[in-house]
Amino acid sequence: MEPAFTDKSIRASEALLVKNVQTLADLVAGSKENDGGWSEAFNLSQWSTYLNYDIMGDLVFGRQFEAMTSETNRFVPKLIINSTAFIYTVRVAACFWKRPR
Amino acid sequence: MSLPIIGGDLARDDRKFFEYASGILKERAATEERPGSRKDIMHHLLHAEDPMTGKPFSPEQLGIESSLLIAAGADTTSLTLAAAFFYLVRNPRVMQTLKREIQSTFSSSGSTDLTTPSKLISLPYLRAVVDETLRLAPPVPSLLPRQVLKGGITIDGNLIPEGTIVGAPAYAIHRNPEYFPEPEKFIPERWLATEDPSDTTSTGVPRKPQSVSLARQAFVAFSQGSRGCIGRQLAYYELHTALAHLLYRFEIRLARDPLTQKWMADSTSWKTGSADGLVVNTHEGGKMDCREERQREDEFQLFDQFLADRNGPMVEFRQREGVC
Repeated sequence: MEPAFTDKSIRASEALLVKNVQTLADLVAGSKENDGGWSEAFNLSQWSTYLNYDIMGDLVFGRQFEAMTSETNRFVPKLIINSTAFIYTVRVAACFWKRPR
Repeated sequence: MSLPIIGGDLARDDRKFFEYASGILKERAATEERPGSRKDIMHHLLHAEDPMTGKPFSPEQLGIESSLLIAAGADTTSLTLAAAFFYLVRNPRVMQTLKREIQSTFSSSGSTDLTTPSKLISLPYLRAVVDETLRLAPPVPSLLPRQVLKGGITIDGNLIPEGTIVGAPAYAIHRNPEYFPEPEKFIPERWLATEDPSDTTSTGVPRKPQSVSLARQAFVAFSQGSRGCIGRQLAYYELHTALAHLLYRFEIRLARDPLTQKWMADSTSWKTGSADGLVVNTHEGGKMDCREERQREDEFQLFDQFLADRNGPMVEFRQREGVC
């Protein structure tokens, strides 16, 4: 998998990184304003997950997941979190199961 | 809260995720031969050969790789980005220093379009902020298990018999005061070596080259050696780009409830399943009504499930004058 992660490959993806970050920035800029020009509140764990999910969609599959701009695909980050929780539970169980002799 | 037992919702979601990843993989593979398409990561995987057998990956292997890539790429970096903002809004001095570095970079390029990620990747203070975030909030905070080989091993004066599973969690190593003085404090300067003794006293951590080099050796957010993270450099590109652009365009502050003026918490879960009962990790960090190790208000709370679960911070943005 190394060829996909060389400096050269990453630099070829620069425009995609910037495009996705700007999508988030535009969403923030266009959000409802409260007093003094401040935006509504953003939960950054949530929004940075959508951002990074969209970036991985572009980089891995050349495909727009659009988690930031549409709710349709937002079920997937939820699946990921539960999926790793599941795998981890199994792994921890396996550690206890394999006791030293 | 649904218990993270084997089976149930978690197992169902694990299956669903795998099916989802396999599905988009199939669609992606169908377009591979289209001329002029960009060489994304899947392109490299579709053309990779197993060095032992000389054969390409099977559809099942590719399915596993693609679900791993999404999880390992998206969930880790997003945790770090949220944690970076958590620590930045609490540390105005650091925020100011970082903003100065970012703003001078953007203004010397003349426009945001010319400020490419390759330019941002080399900003030293930004890198120190990212590393300090990764130290305090490693996305994989727990241990990566290792099995003791034949004959046993002596670790820290204790004889550990063969077959035992051992490991050192990144969370614990990153808080060892021998490597990281003032371990609970967010001090990016600890990553920036200087020979000037007055710089050392201003932030309260040693910054001599040998201290910084010791810290580097103890930094295991990406693990190390042959099992080190393959996406390390990509992660730095992503984090530098996101932090620099957002901090250049916006002022950022913690969100307060407009009626009560209390810090705003988000208990509405944007996730499902096991995390629901654990959501104390809003913008406030730890809370006094939690158990002892969860009480540090200035610590971004992680909930270990290999990739850590988290929530918050809740923040508001305001566009900076003259920037768009």
